[in-house]
Amino acid sequence: MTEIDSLRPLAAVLVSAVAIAPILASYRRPNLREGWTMLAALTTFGLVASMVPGVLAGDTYVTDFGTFVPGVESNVAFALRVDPLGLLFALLASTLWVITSLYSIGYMRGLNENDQTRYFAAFAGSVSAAVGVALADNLVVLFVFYELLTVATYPLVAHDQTDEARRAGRKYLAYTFGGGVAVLAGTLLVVWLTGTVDFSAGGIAALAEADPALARVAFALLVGGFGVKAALMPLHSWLPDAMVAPTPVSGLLHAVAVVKSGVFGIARVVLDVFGPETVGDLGMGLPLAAVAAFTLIAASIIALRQDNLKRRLAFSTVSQLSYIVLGLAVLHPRALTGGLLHIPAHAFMKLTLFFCATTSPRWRASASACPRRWSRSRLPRSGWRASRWSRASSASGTC
Amino acid sequence: MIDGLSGTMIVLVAVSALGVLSYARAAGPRSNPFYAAYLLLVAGLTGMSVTGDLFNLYVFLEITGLAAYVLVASDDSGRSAIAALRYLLIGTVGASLFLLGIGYAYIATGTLNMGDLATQIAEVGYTATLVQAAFAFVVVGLFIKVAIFPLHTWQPEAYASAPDSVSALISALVSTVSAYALVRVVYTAFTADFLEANPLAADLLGAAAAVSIVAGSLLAVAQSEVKRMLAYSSVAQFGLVVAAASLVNETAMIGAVVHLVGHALMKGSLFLAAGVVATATGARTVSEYDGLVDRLPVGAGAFGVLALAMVGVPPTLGFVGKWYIALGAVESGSWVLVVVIVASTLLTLAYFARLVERMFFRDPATALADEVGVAASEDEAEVVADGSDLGATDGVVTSGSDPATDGGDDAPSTDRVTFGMYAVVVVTAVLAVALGLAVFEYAEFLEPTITRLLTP
Repeated sequence: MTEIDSLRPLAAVLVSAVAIAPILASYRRPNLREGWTMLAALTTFGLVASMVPGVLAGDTYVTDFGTFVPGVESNVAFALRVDPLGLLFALLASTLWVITSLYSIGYMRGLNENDQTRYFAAFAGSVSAAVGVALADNLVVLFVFYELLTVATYPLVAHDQTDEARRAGRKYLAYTFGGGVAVLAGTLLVVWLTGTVDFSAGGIAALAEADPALARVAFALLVGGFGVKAALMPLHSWLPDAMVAPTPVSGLLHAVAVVKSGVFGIARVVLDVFGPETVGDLGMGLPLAAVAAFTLIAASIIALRQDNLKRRLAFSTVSQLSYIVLGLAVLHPRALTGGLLHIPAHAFMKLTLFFCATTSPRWRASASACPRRWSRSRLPRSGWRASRWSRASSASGTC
Repeated sequence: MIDGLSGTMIVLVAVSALGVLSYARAAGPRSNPFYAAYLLLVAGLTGMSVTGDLFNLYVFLEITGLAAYVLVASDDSGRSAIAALRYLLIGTVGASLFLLGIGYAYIATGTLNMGDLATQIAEVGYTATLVQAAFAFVVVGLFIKVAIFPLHTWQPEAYASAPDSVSALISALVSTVSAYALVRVVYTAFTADFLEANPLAADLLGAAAAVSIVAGSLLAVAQSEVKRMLAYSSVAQFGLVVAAASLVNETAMIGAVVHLVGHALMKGSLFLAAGVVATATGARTVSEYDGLVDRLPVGAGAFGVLALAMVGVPPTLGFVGKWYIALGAVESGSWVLVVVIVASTLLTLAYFARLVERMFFRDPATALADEVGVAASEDEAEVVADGSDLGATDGVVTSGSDPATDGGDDAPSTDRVTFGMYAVVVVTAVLAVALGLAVFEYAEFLEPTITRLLTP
């Protein structure tokens, strides 16, 4: 297993961030603008995919910029590292971005949405941040991209500019920045306890010998902070509200990139910061598993009662994400594998569900105006299926 | 006395003054008194930064103060005159308290040279009543100048009613250099040993800072005028700096300096951005910022970036400063301060998010406001800017005097945003993000100074 100094991890993060500039600049020419989006999506995908063979062969790609901020014993580097876990998430986000971009273009133009330039720019920023989360080398860099992801997705949640969208946006910011603050506090505590925040397989050794009470607090802060985006109950309520966003956003970000960055953060904390053994010794596996199990069942039951299709899918996401967290919390190698496998599995399924199920953000099963005719004529098959489903699931049967 | 710390302040003063100048050149005020006071202010601030003598510090503090009072009044409106008067009264009380403190220190030790004071105070004894009294008066006097809650009452009105260039200059520099003076006096003259011998003093500093962070943020949320909101935000941010200074910890102290510089750049630039917005669209209240991005994309974008940097979104300057301070607080085990510092992110978000939401995710409230910005003649726009200045409704002619053009009759109309005005705002917005990655190099440069400062 060798470490390869490479600029590819950096490029994978930066390409889509840099693409924001030409996207904004070509706001008068939609075709060119969407060309930039596709170019960035394909380049990002290509860069991430090019690292797959190396990582499968056991190499890790590293980009290191030197020190970002000081720690207690060793300084915190601004570094990106491609390991198998990170690559899995980066590959997932970048692959699905290509698909979602195609869908976005048709969706935004078909519905004649407002502020399309802002939408595509924010989308590119979100993907950049999500890849950054995946490739972060330590907790601080992970936190940096975790916060940037919040900032980049906020315009997408509030996209509709209706009162409802703005309310959802406010709630989103409050929840996720609150989570960010908890992550920051947890990170500071880890730095103080161990002097380092670098990820290491099996956990930071010093953490096993640290004061158990403080280590538990650090674990709770970190998992709680990441748990906001992972929509662990009771921190989930931003997610159903965020469904007011355009469907591709709900699909890629609120079923894949954003929520899984929370899950991914928990995975990093359990696997590479504390290590499964230490988590077990601290007795934190069981409470986490309990929360995940509760979320799993409760969210499913709530989903049964949702008439709005996107909200139903959102609660389903809440529930499914807890499968992954539960897999991590059980602390058994098989469960870990299962949990991690569910990351791509759920991503593909939920993205497709969103794409099929909803053709209009104004789709409300309980809304008085019924968009059935419209969707049937524009997207005959999926629209029809969606409207049937929606009718079947609507208790009041208004649509 | 020049070391890394005062060197930083001199550079900051020079750069900020230059940046504001490039803005004021076009935006005014253009009168001779303005430029005279501007130069006097820069001289006073530079003097405060370089002096190694307590009495000289007082003299420069007064020069700075007097110049600042004049600058605030340079708007020539009734409101700014009242604000300047209030600033004058409260500022003078602050300076007098500071002078009293110096007097006590002189009685106790017979010297006012800071380096000499450090040894003399040690001989007199850190717990001597005279020394304690001197410390209390000096600190409270400087608290007034820095505008720490609840001694901040001069500040919001002064910032809000002064011309935009002046608000930017004062918010970026006057409180900043006063906070530098606080650090300098506490650590160079009284030394860290004094804080160790009087733990109550350090605790009170920390408590005042924590209160200032929370109260300043909450007051900022309640404001409807953008410049007042930014002013209260400064009360909270200086709380952060004082909190760091109270910790007697190297990391926190570096954080304090980084945050001082970062806050100066960001807040000064935010005031300039507010000025750009007001000049171009006449918007001065939070609700008038609705849909700003459609009318003024670059201004709104720069404002947004600066606001996020102020909130402390990584990797901006705002975040890195906060990281140093929080890490320092963790190292010294002051958990209450850790909580306040970390939570200050959310408090700052509370008032900036509201503005960002209005700028980017709302349509302009009325078509009228839109048209004024785009199509109305220059005179009309000026009237609107003037009118909203006085809290009147748009378009109502309430004031005959135009603050910006009364200096000379050859001055061109100033309701046009020039390239220079944009440039300084955009450049600072970029710097606020980019400098975050360069802080570590700067911290290494600063470290010897800080070590010397904390170990007398």
